[in-house]
Amino acid sequence: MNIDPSFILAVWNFGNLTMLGWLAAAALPWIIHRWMRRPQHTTHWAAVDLLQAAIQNSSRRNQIQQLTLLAIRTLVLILLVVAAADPFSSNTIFGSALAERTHRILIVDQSTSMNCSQDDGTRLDRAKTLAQKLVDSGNPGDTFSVIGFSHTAQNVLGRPNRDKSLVLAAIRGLSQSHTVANVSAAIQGANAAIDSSDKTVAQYEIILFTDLGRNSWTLDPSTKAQIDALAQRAKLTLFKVGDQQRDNIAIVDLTVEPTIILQDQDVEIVAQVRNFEKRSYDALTLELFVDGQFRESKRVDLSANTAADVRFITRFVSEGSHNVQVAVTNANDCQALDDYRWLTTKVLRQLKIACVEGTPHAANDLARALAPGQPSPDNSSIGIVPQVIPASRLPQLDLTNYAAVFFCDVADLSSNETAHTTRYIEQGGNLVVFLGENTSPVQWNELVRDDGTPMLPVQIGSLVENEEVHFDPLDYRHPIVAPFRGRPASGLMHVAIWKYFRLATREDYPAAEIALAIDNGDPAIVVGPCVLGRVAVVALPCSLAARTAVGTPWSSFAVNPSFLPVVRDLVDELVGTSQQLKGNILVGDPLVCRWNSISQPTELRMRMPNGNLRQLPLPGSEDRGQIRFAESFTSGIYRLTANGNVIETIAVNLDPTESDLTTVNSVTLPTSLRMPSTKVAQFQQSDSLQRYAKCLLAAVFLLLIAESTVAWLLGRR
Amino acid sequence: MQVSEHLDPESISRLQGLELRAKAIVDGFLSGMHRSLQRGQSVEFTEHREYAPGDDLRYVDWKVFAKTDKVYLKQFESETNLVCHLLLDISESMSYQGDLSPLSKLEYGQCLAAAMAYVVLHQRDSVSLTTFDNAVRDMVRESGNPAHLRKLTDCMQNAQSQQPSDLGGVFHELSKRLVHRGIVVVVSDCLGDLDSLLSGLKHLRHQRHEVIVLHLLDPREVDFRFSRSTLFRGLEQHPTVLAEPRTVRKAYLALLAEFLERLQAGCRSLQVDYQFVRTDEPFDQVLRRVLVSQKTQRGPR
Repeated sequence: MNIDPSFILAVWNFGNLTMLGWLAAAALPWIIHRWMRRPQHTTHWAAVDLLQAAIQNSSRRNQIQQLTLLAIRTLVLILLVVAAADPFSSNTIFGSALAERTHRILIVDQSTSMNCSQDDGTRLDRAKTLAQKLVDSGNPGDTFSVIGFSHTAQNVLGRPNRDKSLVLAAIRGLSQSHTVANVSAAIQGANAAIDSSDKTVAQYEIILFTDLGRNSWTLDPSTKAQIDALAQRAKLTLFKVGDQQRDNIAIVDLTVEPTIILQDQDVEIVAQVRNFEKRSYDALTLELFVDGQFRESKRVDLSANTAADVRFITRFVSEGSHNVQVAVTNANDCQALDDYRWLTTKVLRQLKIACVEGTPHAANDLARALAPGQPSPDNSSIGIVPQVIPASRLPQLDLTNYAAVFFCDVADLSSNETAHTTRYIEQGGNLVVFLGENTSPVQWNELVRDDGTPMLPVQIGSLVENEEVHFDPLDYRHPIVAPFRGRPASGLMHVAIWKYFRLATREDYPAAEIALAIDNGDPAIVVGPCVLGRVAVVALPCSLAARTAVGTPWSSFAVNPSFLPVVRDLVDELVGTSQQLKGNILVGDPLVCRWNSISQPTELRMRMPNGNLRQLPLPGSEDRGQIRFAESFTSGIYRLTANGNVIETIAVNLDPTESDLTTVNSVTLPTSLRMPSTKVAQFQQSDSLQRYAKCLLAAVFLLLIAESTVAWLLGRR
Repeated sequence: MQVSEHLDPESISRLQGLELRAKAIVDGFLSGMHRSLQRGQSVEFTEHREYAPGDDLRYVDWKVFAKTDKVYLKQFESETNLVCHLLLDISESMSYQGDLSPLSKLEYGQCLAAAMAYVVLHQRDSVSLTTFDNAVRDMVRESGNPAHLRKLTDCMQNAQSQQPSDLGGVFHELSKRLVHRGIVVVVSDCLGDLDSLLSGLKHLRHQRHEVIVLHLLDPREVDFRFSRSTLFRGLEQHPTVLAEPRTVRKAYLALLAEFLERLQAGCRSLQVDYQFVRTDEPFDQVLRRVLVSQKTQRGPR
């Protein structure tokens, strides 16, 4: 078989002039040897017989030693040239022959912190560059998968691919995400990639490129176990990109007070700005924008590793959704994404509340508490507008018109009423149940939603009638009673209670919270979430109508000065918080938009923060009036339009944990995770190739020792 | 200034003329002696002299001491009955001079021979000189006249040869030609056939000569310290040899030691006084070794 020598030279690394030059250097010892053998000194000599005899005696041994030394020196040079030529590189014939076929799964962190700028671009840029180098240096038979991960993991190539150009294109296409890195998702993605791999692959290598952000890589035991299990299937390697500590200033929170925002009322926008650096910042400028219009600018000094609240007072002159943005304009830090934060506020002209009473006048005290000084609020009123409605009208009532519904001494609910009510709650409505003498505990306890879970967060027990007891504020921990802290004159602690329903939290409702208790330990007010809405149960009636056996009211709560603020706090907690929560989420959380189900749109679109419009499928009959949008991967304002009109605005913000650019110490990571140098060249060779390279180096080392020893022995003579 | 400083080869090499060198050596040598090592072999009494510390008590005239209570030594009429035959090797190998030595082996040997001649003449004995390589080249008959030294030194200074040496053959020949029995002093590097050399020495001893071999070697020939690859151009028609001195030094020194050992053993067996002399050795040390050795072997006279 004829082999073209130029082909061999081309595929082996010696096929260039530099390497051939180095190879010629291997002849140096011979040249030096010959040169050293030429006479450098001439003298007459008398004892020639002795000299000749000495030469004869030692010539054979000398020749052997000289040749040995010469051979060692030549071999050292040849091996060094071979090492420099890197014949075992995967790009050479030798390398290809020795390398085992490998499926390399490249996992690139796309989380927010990877947007941090460094000298050579962002961390993501660096990760992509490293990944591309690794692909370039791969063996011809290797296959690749490319997985980008942040809060989820996505295999952007689909099936493993051998086409390097496609793999490189997939890496180049990885974009920055605004979400948090989810290590578990990355592991699951890697497992899936292995499962989909060709079974003829000899080995798997998983290479992670990440900044090892502390918020994501502080691993719990289960995740560590997942990594160890993955290491049983593949060799795990992690390339850390990014510096240990980078400067960063971030707005980590943006809130509004009060949570229920009414038209033409002053509100306070509170921006929390945090300095994650080790140095102080003076005169940081924060600017407030409402609906894109500049409103106000404030300055703040921040010490190292501290946070500060910056407060803006503003008001909204029109009802509806408004977009609030606060920006740090002179941070000059490495992470620009978190220098902004958005907030959507729903400004109301009226806050309608339905007060459904089971017995006549049961809701009167409540209505007065909600709208004091307004004997009969109507549609022209501004502020909270309570409407007292008999329970018999509940089936005809469109609850979606009300921000909250109060049930006052309602005996029970029919199945239609239950479905009606649970639907309202699940879509984000708020329900408060004041129990009373007509309440049927058994009936209420059996009320369940469609999925079988209970509607109320508590189990209503028997009536308790005894000596006078009082409230226990539970250290004023809950927001409903928190304003009473330090205000004994508010009367909350003086409410006399003689009769109430004993409430018990349910094991199948773990998110329920006791906001207020009775001093014997029984709960008095329990609040719990229910899908998108919230439900509160009060163990007492909201009027004085109900009487004990001795003729006293069940409690003095309805006439106590604390009744009004408690009721208002309940509304704030339920309505205000839910509204703010609905309009403000973190990236990666699904957007749930709700509208009046009566007006079914014919076209739904989502305008993304970058201005692009995304056509959305119309919801089915089961989801009338609401839609979920899961692709909230970018921070900013999302606007849902129905038939061309904006019907919902939602602010999506970064997870503030991503603003802390501190990295974890590698010793906390599982030992199964290798962390080589970030120089891909040192990593790219497979184990077998590295073995040969190590043997080469060991041979050079041994030869150098042998050369020194032989030379020393000859020098002694 | 130390005497030896005058007598080291480097100092002597600065002097012009062999006779002058010889006198410088011997004068310096004698002035450093505490007492004369030379005791004449005369038997006729001439005079007394007072005893001096260090004098041999055997020559005290006890009769005078008994009469006068003074210690006198008996002085005898000097009568020459010793003949010293100097045999100087002038073969080409003797012309070698290493870089550590100020004199070639031949020059060193000439100085040494002249000094010994001067010593002998100084004590009114006779001395002869023979120069040789592979044959006898020149010969000055023995004489006890002090003016004889000039003849000897002239002969030595003119001696030069490109021929190899044949010590054994020359010694056999001289055994027949040296009719007066005496002390034969051989000054040579002794390079050549060792068996032939010993055979020649044996013949000299057979003629009842006392033989002293002054074996001259250059320091370079003794230690063979060359650092670089060297081309050795052979003297006495030997071939040119290229060698890496560091690699052959050990073998060379072993062979040299073996040669010297054989030579010394041969001399011992023939009762020949063998003296190994490096050409960087001070002359007085060599002379002292020779004379002390002679005294030890022959006893006092």
